Amino acid sequence: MITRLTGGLLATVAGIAVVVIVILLVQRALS
Amino acid sequence: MTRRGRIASYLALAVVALCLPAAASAHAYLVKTFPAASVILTSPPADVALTFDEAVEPRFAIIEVFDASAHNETTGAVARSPANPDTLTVPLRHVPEGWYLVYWRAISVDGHPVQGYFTFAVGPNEGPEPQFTPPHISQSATTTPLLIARWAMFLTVMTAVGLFVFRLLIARPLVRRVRETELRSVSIAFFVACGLGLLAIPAYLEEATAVDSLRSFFAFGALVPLWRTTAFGRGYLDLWICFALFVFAAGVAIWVDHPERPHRSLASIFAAAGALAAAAALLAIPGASGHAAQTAPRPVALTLDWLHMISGSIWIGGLLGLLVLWRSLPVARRVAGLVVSVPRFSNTAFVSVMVLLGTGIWASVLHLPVLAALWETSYGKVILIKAGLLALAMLLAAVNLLRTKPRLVAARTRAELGEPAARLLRRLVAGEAAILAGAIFAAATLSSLAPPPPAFAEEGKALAQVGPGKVAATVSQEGYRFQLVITPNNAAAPNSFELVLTKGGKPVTGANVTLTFAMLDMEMPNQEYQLTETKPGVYARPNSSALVMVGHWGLSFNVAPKGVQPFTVLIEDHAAG
Repeated sequence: MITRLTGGLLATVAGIAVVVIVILLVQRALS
Repeated sequence: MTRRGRIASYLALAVVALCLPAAASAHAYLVKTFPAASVILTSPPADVALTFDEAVEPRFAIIEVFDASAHNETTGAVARSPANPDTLTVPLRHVPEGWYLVYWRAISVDGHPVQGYFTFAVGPNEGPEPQFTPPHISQSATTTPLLIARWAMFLTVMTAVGLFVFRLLIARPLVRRVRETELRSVSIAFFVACGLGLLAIPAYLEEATAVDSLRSFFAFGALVPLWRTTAFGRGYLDLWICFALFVFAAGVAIWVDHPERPHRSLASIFAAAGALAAAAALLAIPGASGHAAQTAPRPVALTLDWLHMISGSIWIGGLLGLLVLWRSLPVARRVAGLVVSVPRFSNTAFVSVMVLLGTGIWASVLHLPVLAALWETSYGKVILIKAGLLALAMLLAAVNLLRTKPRLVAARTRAELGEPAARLLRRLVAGEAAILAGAIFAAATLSSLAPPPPAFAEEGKALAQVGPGKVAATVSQEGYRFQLVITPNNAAAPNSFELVLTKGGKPVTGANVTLTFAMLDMEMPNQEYQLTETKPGVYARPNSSALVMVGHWGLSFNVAPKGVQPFTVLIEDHAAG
């Protein structure tokens, strides 16, 4: 249960990391 | 479609795409050279310096200086000038009097190769300019292996994202509604697509770097350090990192998901949200490192490209997911399984196709300066091929939506309808997926070509098309007669431009005539020159080196006769090498 929840949270962190990287990339492309 | 038929259609598409003329593509352009083009120096230069409008990577650049007997006169490697990061220099040996040809090739920050050449002389006894044969290296970003690598990358990444959405959101209820079914094969197909995508992205990056730096694909030691030197390379490296993070998040989301339970667990919701956010975000990267980021209005172009990628991914991934499901379901449960999955996918696919169509049309409008560019440029022709393939896929999708889906739904009460409908569905879906894979190949080709420059819009207004070779043409406008002579009309060489202006058979004297050169094949700054009246009604500019490269040029003569409203005469000239 805890392992799965940790996995889920790590997946969320990975998702947020991708979103942040892409926002920075798009900002650079638009500037 | 049979397997053989599918392979044949892939080959046919590849042949069509490869037969298309390669287009010049560029975003970096040369703004200044030392020595200047066609100049005659009094002493030999110590080096040749080329200044671009942006910083270009010296490790990708070539500058060669040839004498009349094609002997290379450079003595060292191309380096960045310490004084100006936009300038590249190459040292020269102490050259004797005579004419020299400078050939250069560089890579724009967006990964597109550009090249050109010009001549200069060392005097005072330089003699007549010899007929140089400039070296030619493919200028195109569309070599066959590169296109295939790009296609493989798009196909695997889009399929992985689409299969994930299919597994997690579309096919999930199947397990609860139909006994003895599972989604393991869809998950396996997803992980296979992920594995291939994780290989395809660096393979594409390696091949693109190899093509740009004129090295072998297997020169890993030399090429890998160059991956991050262009904005293009950095963009795809970021795509690789983001895709790997998505694969991790999606893997967790599938691992913690229990489709047999009516409600999702907290872990499952977290993981699914993370993976879906990663999937959506990473599909914006190709646009941010491609043409969309350079097409005004850029926020609109980027959003269109992003939505286009998302909708395309859901469509292709869902189709492949349905095929995997068809094959993996036990025969006794196949129809029941499809009855659950197909209507759910049909609804999603319908929305996706509409978004794909809308964003595709809108993006084409943004990228093409005039409608004629659709059939007159390589870029436009690939759009037509892609649109044709999508139309074909939509036709099959329409049959599925209007015929197969209602029959599958009806099979809930009339079981005999189920089996034939399932068979038809498999054939149509396989055909649709193969055609879509072809459309993705067209998209990979399209994004490798440069969109036509804004100056292309002027082409339709040209009064005459002239060249290649010496030009002697006569056109009339506003009651004036224009006799145009261009000699020898060669690119990268001095040319004489002469305009004889008459009205009612009499020379028009004292007019102010300027000539603007616009490159029609790629984006470059325009050059403008004043023509001087050498004889009554004869306006000329001798020895101009304005036609700096081979291709189509828009020559705008802005004529302002004394006391009369000025007007413009546009001639399209083809300058050969």
